[in-house]
Amino acid sequence: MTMQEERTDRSPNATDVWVRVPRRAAAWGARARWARHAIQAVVIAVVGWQAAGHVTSGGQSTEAWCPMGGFEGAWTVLTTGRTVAHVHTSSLVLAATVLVLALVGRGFFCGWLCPLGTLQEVVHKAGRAVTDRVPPLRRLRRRLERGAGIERWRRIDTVLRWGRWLVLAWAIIGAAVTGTMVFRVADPWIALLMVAQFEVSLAFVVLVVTLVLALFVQRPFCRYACPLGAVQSLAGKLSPIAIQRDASACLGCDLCNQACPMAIPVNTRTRVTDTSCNGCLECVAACPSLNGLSVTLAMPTLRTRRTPPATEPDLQAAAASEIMR
Amino acid sequence: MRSPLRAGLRDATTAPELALPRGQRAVPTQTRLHTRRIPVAMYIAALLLLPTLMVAGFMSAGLWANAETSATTQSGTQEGTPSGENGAGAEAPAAPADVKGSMTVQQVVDAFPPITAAQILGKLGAALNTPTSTQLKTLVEKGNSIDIPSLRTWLQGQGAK
Repeated sequence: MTMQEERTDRSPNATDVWVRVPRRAAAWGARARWARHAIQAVVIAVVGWQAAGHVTSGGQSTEAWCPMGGFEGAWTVLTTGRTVAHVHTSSLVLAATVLVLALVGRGFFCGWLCPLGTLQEVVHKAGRAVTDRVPPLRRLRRRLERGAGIERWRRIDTVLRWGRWLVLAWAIIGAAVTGTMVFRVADPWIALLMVAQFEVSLAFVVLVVTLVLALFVQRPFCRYACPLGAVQSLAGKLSPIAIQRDASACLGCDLCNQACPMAIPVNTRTRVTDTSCNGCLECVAACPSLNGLSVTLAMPTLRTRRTPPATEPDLQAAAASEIMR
Repeated sequence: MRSPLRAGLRDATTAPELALPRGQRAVPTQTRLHTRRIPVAMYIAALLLLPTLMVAGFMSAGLWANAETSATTQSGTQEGTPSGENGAGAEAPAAPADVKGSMTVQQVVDAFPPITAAQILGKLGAALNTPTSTQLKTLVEKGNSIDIPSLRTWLQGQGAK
């Protein structure tokens, strides 16, 4: 990483002030993205291999690799000592692992490891690639993105995001009360694993709807319906690690907001502790400023020393040292 | 004497274009937490290593079980040993509620002694000469008679404990 000092764009609020901020090497973001995509590809390959093995030889159950099953069956295991149908102890192990991972890295599992999230990303990027190449579709997309309905869409998006908490309550309480995995009937992940069996079920319909929506919205299932993401959001609230924005190094370029697949307004945060953050680090990769966004560890103490109010000599010195034009 | 710089700042803060709209908060610029930067590469490596080590640890402790292995507290078999005639299928059921589609007919027969293979095969609508190493879910899919929850209920009705 090379440190470069370049002039930023003109700030809209201070029209005559130019600020120097160290820039990050342009290749840094690309390398971070490639690392994530490589890991996602490895996970998809492993899961695909498991699913293919299950279809061809009837070997290991693909559901054994589902951490959500562990959360659903946890109550029954704790109270009766037995697992519910379709839940294996491997699911419990994975659930515990995801929980610990969320306590450390918030939504890291969603952004880097979840195969369903990867699939939604691939579909969305494919949709963008098609609309970029077909002029009428491109015009339509731009019109929609800039249209007057954008504010209404934001309100709808905010309301729909409560959906995953409802799904989580349904999955956990339903499993605890009935002793069966009630969410399984609508779980697109199960439908994806069973796709080779060509069974049209509610879960299959949810999967198809998810993938169709993914053409227009980034990660729709993660945003609106994923109970596993909701569990991690709760655990992630305790995490000491978060992406932090340094306002003094922020260029106000808005690239972080555009890069975020969960539509978090990153440039209005000091620490990105939103429950919907999936830890993909796309905002960090997109940030051109060296210190604009960084991954930070919060210490158990609060900042005690506050900056004293500036005195008049300070203000004069600051004004003199600024690069005025 | 009034400083022109201070007066300029005061005017700027009261300027109408800097007033926040009603119901909106100013964007904070600084966290109150004491924070320390972590190198991104180290962060990613640590978070990839963590689940790998955890799963490996659980596996080495014998707590990892999927359809092919048995290591649960519910099973009556020894930990980590394959169960069933051909090693396929899940753990031996301790109660009718534990019966799963991945279990073989023989496993169910072994677990609930009064029940015979012929009874289960008949209940599932399968031919009586079907191998007892067949998984229940295979019979359910072919038989078009009852599903696994109904089989559990039937086993309970037969007095299996």
